[in-house]
Amino acid sequence: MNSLQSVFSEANLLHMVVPAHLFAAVGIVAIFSLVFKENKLFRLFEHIFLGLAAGYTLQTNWTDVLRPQWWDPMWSQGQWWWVIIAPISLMFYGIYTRNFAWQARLLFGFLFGMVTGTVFQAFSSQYLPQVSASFKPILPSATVTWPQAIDNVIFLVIMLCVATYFFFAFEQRSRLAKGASTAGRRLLMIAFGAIFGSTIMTREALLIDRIYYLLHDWMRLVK
Amino acid sequence: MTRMTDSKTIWDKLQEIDPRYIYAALIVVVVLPLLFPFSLPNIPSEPAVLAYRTMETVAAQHPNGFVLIASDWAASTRGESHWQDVAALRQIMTHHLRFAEVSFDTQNRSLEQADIAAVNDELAHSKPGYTPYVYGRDYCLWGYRPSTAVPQFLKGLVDDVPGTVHADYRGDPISKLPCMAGIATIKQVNAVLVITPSNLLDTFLQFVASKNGTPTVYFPTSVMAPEGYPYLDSGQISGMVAGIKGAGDYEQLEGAQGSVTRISTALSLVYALILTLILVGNLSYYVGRAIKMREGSGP
Repeated sequence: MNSLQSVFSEANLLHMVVPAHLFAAVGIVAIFSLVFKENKLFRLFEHIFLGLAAGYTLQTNWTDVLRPQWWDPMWSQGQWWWVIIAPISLMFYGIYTRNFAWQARLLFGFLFGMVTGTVFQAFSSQYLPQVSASFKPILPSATVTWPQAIDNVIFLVIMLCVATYFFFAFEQRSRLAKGASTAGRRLLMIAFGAIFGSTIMTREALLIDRIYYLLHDWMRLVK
Repeated sequence: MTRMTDSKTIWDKLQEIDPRYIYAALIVVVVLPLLFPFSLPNIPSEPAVLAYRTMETVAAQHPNGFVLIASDWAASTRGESHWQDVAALRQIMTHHLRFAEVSFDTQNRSLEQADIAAVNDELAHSKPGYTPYVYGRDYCLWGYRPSTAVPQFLKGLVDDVPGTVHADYRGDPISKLPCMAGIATIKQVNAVLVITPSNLLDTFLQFVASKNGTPTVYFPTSVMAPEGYPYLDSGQISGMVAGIKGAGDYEQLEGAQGSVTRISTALSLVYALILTLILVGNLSYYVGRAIKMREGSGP
């Protein structure tokens, strides 16, 4: 930690009042002030953030996508046929009127068809390797150590229990099926608990990062 | 039994702590390790070690190799993704591998540019003999592509990189950039790094990794990490750097004990605080209930 004297040195204070730095710091404090009480400063910065994000998104979509890939080829390179994209895109807005809603449905139908095709492909490329990887050796051998074999048995039991829970093709009357299904549900709850723990880590990381910004980048209190 | 003057026991009071005191405690717990740094013991997780070793192997086998970084993180997940990005860039730039970056979020390119500049500056000051990266010669930014067009973009990338990307974010044709020399299809890409808080990895596995077996390293946020383990188990990804913990592990493996190590310590203390509060909350609930039941059934 730097000495407080250096923190409040002229150079450091000048750094802290640079408009961009000061705006960022006040913005962070204003947004976090919500946890103590709803207030107008929070509302102000919330709207500023939303406005900035929306404006930035529009600008980037124009400069990085629409202008180089559509406007420039059409306007400067003589590829006039790209003009057809404009009315087709506008058909999406037909959804707001009863008479022209069919136009939007036409485009949505096209998109749904395209996505469905890729989902079919996704099954073979994403999930089939996982299915084949679930066939694991459960007996120790020259290549499989005892700990690995125990790991694999645990994996297999959990997989079968969870799969049983999601198997609705027949009524689960037998004690074995009921037990496996109940175990599967409880194991899923453990997994959800782990995911919730990870979620907390993400949220806390965001808080720590912003406090780090205030102490390190803005106040230069930590090196 | 400790009875308060307003007939509420200490156990009742513990269940009614004003959340603002908890937030204040949280801030204190975060600020202290940042101001007065100390490190807690940390064992790098196996997925992070796998990721690190994969990239070390790529660097050893391809001295002038080419890495593609795909990311769609923005300000909303900067707390984790930024540190992962810095850790990944540090390793790539230490080995002086060429790289290109493509953004699937509008904010991402600017954030990525800032990270590249910061790591370049850090290595220039800390690593003797380091040749600073120059745009176009050592790396390039392909710019932003809408997330809705990711499948089509990746499908094109597999067979024809220059024909799909066309130009970098400045508008210069990528085929004329020295760093893109010899990169015609995805087959020439030695590794793919996916830094994302979303399910971008799925699309990459579907269209890129499954077609060519390109080593793919996954950098998810903590909340997305559990979904990555099946891919790790099946070998579809070569490593995973999960959230801020993963970034800290990576930094430790790189031997660069810096900001993330300090942040990881703060995170550990936050977890300790949360666990303590959960214990206190449950204890006060059960003890308070037991006392009330005893009083209710007593003479």
